[in-house]
Amino acid sequence: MKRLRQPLTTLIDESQKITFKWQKKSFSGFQGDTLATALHASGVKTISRSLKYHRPRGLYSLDGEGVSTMVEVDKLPNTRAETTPIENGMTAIAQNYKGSLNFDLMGINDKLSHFMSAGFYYRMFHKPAFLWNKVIDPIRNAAGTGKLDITHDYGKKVEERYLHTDVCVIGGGPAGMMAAIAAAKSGARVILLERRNALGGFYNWRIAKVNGLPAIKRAEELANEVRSTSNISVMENTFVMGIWGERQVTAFQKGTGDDPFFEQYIEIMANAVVSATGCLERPLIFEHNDRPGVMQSDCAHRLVHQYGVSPGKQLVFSTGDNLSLEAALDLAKMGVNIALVADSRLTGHDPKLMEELNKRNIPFWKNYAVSRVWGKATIKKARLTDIKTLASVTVKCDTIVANAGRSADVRIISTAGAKVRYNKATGFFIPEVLPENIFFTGRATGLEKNRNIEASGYQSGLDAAQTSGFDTDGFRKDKCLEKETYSPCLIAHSPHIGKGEKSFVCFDEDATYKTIVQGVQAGMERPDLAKRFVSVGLGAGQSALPGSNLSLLLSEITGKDINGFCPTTVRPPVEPVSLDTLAGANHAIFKVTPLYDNLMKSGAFMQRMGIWKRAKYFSDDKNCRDEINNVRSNVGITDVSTLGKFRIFGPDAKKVLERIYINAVSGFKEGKLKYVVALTGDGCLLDDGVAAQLGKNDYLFTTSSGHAAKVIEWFRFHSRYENWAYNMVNLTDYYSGINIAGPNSRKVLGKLVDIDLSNEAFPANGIRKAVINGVSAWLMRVGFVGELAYEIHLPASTATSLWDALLEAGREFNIQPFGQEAQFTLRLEKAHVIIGQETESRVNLLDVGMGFAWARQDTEHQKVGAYALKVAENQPDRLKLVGFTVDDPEKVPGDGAVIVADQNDVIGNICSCRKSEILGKAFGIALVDESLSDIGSRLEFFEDGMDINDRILATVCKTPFYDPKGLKQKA
Amino acid sequence: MYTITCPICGKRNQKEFRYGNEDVGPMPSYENLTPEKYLENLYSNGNHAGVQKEWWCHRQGCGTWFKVERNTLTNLQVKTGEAK
Repeated sequence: MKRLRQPLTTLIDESQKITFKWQKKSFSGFQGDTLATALHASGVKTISRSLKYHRPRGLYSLDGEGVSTMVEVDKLPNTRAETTPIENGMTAIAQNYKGSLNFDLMGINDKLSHFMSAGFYYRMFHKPAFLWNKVIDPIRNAAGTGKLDITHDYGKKVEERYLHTDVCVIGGGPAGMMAAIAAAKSGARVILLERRNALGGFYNWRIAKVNGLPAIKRAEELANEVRSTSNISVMENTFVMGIWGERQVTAFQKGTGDDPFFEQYIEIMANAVVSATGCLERPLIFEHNDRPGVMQSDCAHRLVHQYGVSPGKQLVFSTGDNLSLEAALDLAKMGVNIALVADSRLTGHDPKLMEELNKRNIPFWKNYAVSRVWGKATIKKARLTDIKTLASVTVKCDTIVANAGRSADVRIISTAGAKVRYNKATGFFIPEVLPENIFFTGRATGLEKNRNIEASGYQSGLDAAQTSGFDTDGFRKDKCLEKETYSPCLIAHSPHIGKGEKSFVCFDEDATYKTIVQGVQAGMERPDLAKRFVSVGLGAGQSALPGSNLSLLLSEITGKDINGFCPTTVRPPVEPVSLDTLAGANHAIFKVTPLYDNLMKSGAFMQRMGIWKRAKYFSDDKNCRDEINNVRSNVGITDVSTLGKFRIFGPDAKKVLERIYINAVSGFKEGKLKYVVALTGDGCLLDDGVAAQLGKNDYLFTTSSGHAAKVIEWFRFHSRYENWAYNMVNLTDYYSGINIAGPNSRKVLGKLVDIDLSNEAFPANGIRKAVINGVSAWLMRVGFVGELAYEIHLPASTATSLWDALLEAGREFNIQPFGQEAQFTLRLEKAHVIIGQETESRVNLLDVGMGFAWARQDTEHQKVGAYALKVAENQPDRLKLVGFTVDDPEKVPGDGAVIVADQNDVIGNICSCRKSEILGKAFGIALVDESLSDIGSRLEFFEDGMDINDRILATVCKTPFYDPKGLKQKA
Repeated sequence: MYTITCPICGKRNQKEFRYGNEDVGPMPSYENLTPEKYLENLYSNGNHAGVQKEWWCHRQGCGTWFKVERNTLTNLQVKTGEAK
């Protein structure tokens, strides 16, 4: 179809042709077209089938509310045809039909509508009771729209932005732009959100004069001022989901062009919010008002003025406001054939517009409305009925432009908790009481004069800026510039619709006038009940199209006052958002230590441990036999940079250490480390590490990997009521750590340090300062893996060269790196507890056999957890940590396998279990009920994958499993 | 609350903070304490309708623990305490 000539308001570029596929056939359009406009231009009128009755549906508002215009684009279901721009190679198909789109087999439902009364799902199919089970699946499968291909990689990138602003303006039409300009003038930071891809609102398709300029030009003027104002930030293609507490606005922005995202989640904290959302058209309710070819006035106006597409060959207007009359005239001027214009109002029509219609010999019928159309996929004729006399005339036509005037778009503001009430003068439901610092402005308040709409926006912008403390006195102007004469359309529905069996109120759910009457008869007359029982406004449109019609109809049907039927709160998200967007990008964020490159060069396999990537092992052998043997018989090095490291100093530093650690912290010997444990208030292990005194009121302590931040909070939390003078410095990332372990570790280290490493000079559990490889470092003798070992803490930037120097110095001893997996087994052979592996909220310090750390005689320091230990000390029936060996040398149960007693009772679980080279079988430590904790007790393990009656047998034994006297680490 | 005012850093998003329970005062001396009173201090909350004092830590900021007075009926902060 050839496009009409291009006016000022055009959005398409006829020099850029775009080809795409619809229902497997090739179509074309132009740059700027949406899927809906390109298809309409190509003569395609039906683009979907409705949910329940499978009636053909086509474009309606061009803003995409609701399900009627949803299609599948490039395998993405429920994409809005009216707002999706066409792109070369795009593939679009229709949804919700069986057979063919033009001959949907499910269309039989339409003929059965008589039997599908309101609430029929609830009332049928359960007498007799067995029926429900038979129909539930077919009904479920027939419901819903769109198919998701779960094997398809949609490859959609999502992003997120968190913004703060003084004023957030929702809506980029004339009132919204003025609000942003005014607020910015007084100094406020402004974010302006607009759902379409350009600012301008309802000026963008109009040429009527505003301030002497065609509306589109006035829109450009305002948009230019907005964009050149540095403290206004504009986001287009941005759909607000809702307004939350403290004026948090959430929205999503659709990516266009070269945006690096498909959708972007946006969260804005604003001091004040201005809602300038404008109006929706109120759908006119008549028989078969959902046919393809029935469309709203703005839709027809935009088709012609923005896309050069003629809505049809023979149009009938049946509308209820002056904007629609303006649209009819503009269409006539563009050469569209208008058979007649019917207006449902008796008076109040703009005299200038009426005169122009008269000049063009377009018949104008006052107090008339279309009551029925004929034709299924294409309209053939329409019946127009006098509202007073009910006299009817039938007219041939193929397109109906219909509305019952406008209604305020209060969806977003209702999510903020604003309650709306009916305004008699305007016929709108508008907010009565607004939450603090939220403003409602513009056309939505009922204003019709363009200058008034702009002025009201300006005023609200200043009010909003004022809440942030900006001085607005110097910028105030008059609020209302021209007298408004309201002439709302007052009919709830067209006359002469009979039972209204095919007069649709909600296009998403196929709810009709008839079903609303049935709902009222069933006692569901309140809007919140009626909407659920009849299914109005619950779909993707969230009340956008039913809008205020439900309220007006209920009031009319019951005969009761309209204010008893105010519209219900819309549920966020106000417009459908992709789950991808809400899930977020889920970037893989991790930290690596300064030794990362060294580890990779040595062939490390890395694993995630909390926020860190650490070396798990260095070969294909997942049992790490070589690494383990090398440490036991020779020497190995490992990266322990991830340990938390702190300096704590000040006159009261010792007081807080005594509070936090369950050990006696006094009696620090110079040059000696203390193994320290921190408990929770329940006496369970929070963290462990080592501590040392470095000088007067000056201490050093370490924490387990990944627990540094938690420990800082813990220290400060438990000293919050005291006025203790101390300071802590987090040196976790400042210091790197390398642990060198094995009988030959002293020999290797000795080559690089300047101090005496002999056992006499530097015994076990000692700490020394030394120069190693030219760098000043701390050396600590720790026994975690049960061998002679030294932990070197030195500035992170020097770690990589130390690692290389150690590998070089140890070459003659065949030094090898060892990873986390080897370390796990080595420490397990010594039955050393790992925080988070053996510790949990069911077991306290005593249960895991670490009562030696408890300074039980301390009464003055209120040690965290000490009281709980006293209380639990003699409690029966607690879990105990025991060592075990597995009978069968072939079986190696995993960490977490459960311990079973008496056939079915789970009485414990394995904490850690590995195969031991030395013992030739699996061994480990487990938590088990006290009754089975004695040496020699028989344990039965069960884990996933085993037959339910099978067990792995083990025996409780003494620990540690290696070097019981600890001679190796004291060497 | 959507925002909390930290005594050192000012008004920030609530996500930057960790909740540290109602302010029930320091743990009484362990001497002559009963298990019931111990658990009460550790876990019990008054859950009053109205303004309550509670502890918050600015963990993604300065790391300070401070008291906040919050109206549980409006879920808005009404007063900020000093840093501890």
